Amino acid sequence: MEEKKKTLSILEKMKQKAMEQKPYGGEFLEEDAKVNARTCSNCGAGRAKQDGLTHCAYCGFEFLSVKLSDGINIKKEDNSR
Amino acid sequence: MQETKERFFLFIEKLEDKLTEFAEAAIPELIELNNADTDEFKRKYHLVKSGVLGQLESIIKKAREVYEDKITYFPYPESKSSAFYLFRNECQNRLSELEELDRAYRTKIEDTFQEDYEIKYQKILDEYAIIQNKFHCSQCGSPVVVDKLYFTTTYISCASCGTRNTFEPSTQAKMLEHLGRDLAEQRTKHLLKAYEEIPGKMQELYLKGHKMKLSLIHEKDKNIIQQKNIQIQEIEKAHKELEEKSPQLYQKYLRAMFDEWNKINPDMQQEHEKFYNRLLIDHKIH
Repeated sequence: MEEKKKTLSILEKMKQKAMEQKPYGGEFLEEDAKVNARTCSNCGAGRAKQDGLTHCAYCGFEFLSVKLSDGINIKKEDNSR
Repeated sequence: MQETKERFFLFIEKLEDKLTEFAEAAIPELIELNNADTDEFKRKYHLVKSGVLGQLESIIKKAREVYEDKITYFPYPESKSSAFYLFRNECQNRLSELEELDRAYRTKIEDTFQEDYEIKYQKILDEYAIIQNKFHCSQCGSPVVVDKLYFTTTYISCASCGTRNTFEPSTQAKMLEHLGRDLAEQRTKHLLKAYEEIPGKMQELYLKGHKMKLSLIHEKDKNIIQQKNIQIQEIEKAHKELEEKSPQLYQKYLRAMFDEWNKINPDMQQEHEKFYNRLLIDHKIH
């Protein structure tokens, strides 16, 4: 009987510890899908597809300072000329 | 020697009792936790499970340590070497029994993990059906259609004004690639099982053949010897066939699994194929 109590308490302790422990990286946050567009902070224009993503077609404002390469959804052609 | 053996057997028996008791108590708890844990990755459940497995591990480790300490290095006089070997073998067999019990419980504990990935995948598909036509361009207000299931943040162009809108998938849609392999494995697990059964079948055939060969040693009757030889040849042939079939079955499983995975997340097909090739090569090497 004594033995049984001991093993159960190990299990209980384990459970308790697991419950108390904060998950690594914090709680899991769920977010819904959303859409928004980035506009030029200089002149307020949107970024049209044909003008590319890296620079504003109207005032030349630099949106992204990197040169885009081919990825899953972004392609090389998305660099502004 | 006899005394040490008895003490060792008693010790193992106690460990066995402890292991059985602990595992029996842990299994229902784990099943309950698995069902109750609402965390996306069931992290609490996994924490407790690894704790339980660690306890089992420490029991086995203790047994192995004592075996090494008291049995393997048991001091014995030169003249008693054969008695020592017998003693050591008996103790080792007893230890293997404990290890066997541990393995059986480990499988049972691993089996407490249940997760239906189909449900999660269906949720992602349902969500996509809802959001597909839900969004509007933030520049001009005309609808922005989400043309396929995206699992990473992407740009979608507005059909009217051409503005590139940033589409951010929901958290569960972002999990698609993470979920994909588990789901594909779940869908093709019967194929994996067929592959994993091969070594057991081969062992069985081998033992059958081996037993027959042993029975030939004292056989005098030529007819019987001839008959048995034919049977042995047949067994060996079947054994060889299984051996050749094994890698084919693995490849069949892997192909089916990756086909499913590609179907679930076609955007990553190229990467999946690289992974497929690597797994296949790894399998050939080992």
